[in-house]
Amino acid sequence: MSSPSEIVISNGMTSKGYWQDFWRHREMLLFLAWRDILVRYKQTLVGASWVIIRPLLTMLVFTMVFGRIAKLPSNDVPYPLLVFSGMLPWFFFSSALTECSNSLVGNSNLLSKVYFPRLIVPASTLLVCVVDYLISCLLLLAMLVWYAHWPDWRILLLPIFSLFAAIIAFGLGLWAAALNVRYRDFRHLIPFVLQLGIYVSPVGYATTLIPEKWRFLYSLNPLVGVIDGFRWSLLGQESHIYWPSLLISVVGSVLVLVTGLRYFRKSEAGFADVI
Amino acid sequence: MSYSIKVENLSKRYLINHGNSGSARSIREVLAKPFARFKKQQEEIEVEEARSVEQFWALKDVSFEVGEGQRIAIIGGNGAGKSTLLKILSRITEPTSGSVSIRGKVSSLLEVGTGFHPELTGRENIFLNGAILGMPRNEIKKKFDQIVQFSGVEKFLDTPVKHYSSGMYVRLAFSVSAWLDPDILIVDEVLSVGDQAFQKRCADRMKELTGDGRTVIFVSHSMAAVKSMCEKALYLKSGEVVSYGPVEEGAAEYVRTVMDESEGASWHAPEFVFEQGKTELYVDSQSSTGYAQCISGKVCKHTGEVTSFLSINEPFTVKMRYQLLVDIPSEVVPNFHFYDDSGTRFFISFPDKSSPTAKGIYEAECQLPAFLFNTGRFTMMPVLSSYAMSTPIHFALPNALKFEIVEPNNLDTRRHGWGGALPGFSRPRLDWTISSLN
Repeated sequence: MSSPSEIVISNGMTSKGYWQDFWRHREMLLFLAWRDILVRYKQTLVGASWVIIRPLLTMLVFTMVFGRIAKLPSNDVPYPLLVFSGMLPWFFFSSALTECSNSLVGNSNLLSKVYFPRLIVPASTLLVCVVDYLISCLLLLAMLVWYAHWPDWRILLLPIFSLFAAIIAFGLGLWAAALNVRYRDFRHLIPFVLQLGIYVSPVGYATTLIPEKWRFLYSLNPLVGVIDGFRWSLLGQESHIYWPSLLISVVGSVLVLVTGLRYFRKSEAGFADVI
Repeated sequence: MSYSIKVENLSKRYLINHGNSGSARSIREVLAKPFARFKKQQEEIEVEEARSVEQFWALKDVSFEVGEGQRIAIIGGNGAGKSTLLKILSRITEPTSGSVSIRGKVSSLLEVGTGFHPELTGRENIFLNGAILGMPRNEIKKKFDQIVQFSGVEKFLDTPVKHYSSGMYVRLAFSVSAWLDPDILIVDEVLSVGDQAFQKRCADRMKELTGDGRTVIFVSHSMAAVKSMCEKALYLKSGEVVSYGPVEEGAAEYVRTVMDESEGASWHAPEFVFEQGKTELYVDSQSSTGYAQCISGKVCKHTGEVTSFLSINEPFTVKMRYQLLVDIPSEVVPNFHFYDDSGTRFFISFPDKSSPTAKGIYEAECQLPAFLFNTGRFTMMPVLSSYAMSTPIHFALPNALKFEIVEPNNLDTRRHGWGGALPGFSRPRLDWTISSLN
């Protein structure tokens, strides 16, 4: 059907024409994402509403614990809104990272039976998480309306902060996915790290709570910049942006993505042998 | 002729880690290594590493070329490297050294229903599986009806496949693969699915698929399937090419070696020497003692060569040596019982004349004509009887001789081109007449 093009297979040759190949398999990427979305809520009672219920309940708990019981300051924003605007990127990040890290092992039957650029698998899981994220964005919208809180022009920058959350999650996810093929420890490590991560990231509280002298150390967590950016663009808090943390987020995300891609590509050829 | 696949000096090495049961390592081992170095001498570590990581060459310096539109079979025993070769050709894994050049679009079927999800409906799985196999969506749409019709699961298209019977599942799974349209098709043993009728349909479809100028690489253990589908055979053994040539020759060689090596020793028994207490002896209330005993037995070709491989078109001989310990007061009848490999008695043969009854050593010999036995494995039980006595069995040795009838290259001319199996115990040459009635 197509004009016979010659492919040469030899050790270390997978890198040639990788991205064209990736593009050629784009339909598979979409189908895998479609499969995961379709399958996810089959045989569940409330189905897709889980996308809404999960962050909603977490928000309620966090508001209770941090806002009502601990009485942390909310910087003149309704506490639920403060929590939710932090939780949105965090949930996106943590689910993307978790799903990506398990994606290769979860699709091991595909890896050992069919050829395709392996990057398709974590990429399709990321896509699924993006869909979930967009749905929970609707919830955020509803909350903004409920609290009659109108964001200004800065909301236009929200997609950029979302992008950084995605990049960090994907970069780390690639590392974790590739390492997980070889060392299954990451299956246990990632959820554990994320569990702790929610407390060292400004999800349930505002960053302003962190004493000035610890601020920089705190900002080494690249998600701090992203979450702060979210709050800044959504809630329009007067507090200025803490530039070092933003810079760390930007540099960190690019670094993590580049190294993640490189490690993934390097170990990709051996996936089928060790999985 | 221009090639569509050229394989040059292809090798694949696997590292087998004996330190751990699974292939996926635990990170603890890796982290622990640097600390281990402090404790041990360098030499010790090297020895240990060499012991715990073993190299295994699944393929060694394999070279061959497949011409455009050629259909070749890859044959060989388990662990010969067939699957590894397929995996490299389908780009699932990389070779350690050497190269493969491929011209054209490749589809490989190493399994049916790759990526099928039990929760999805038949319809959804068709699209998913198609996409995974590299079929564009509009192409799947175009072929959708054909796929569904071929599979015969129209009624259950919107049922999740987890509710399918296993037969329906594989039928649907194969059907998607059956409508791929590549230049080069790589097929692992996936044809043996479904019931008889569906298998036939699959085989027909495979022939159709492989018919129009496609290059096909086919792996199978079934020599009948290989011969009917392919022109050439690449015979692999322990990762190396034994031969690459016409399929008849390759298949015959493979069958020969497999018999000699793996099963020859354990199954075949072209001769035996009776040993009291060791040789299997049939004893019941009708068995006598003290009159006679068996000494030995053998199967040989008409040329006299002792062998358990007998060609279907050649007569052969079965011999038994026995000793009469005393003068027997009634007629002595040696008789041979033949069984197929499932233990069903095929026939019993008796001599036409009476045999000596005086004390002494004798040899009984029975000639078996060509085509009396069909191909397959048979066992023979030599028996010495005296039917007039109250205990008529002097001895009976079940499974004493084991032999196999083979048909190299389907030489039977009465096959008239049929290449498949011909079941039955016997394949007698009977006289036929076909006369015109108009």
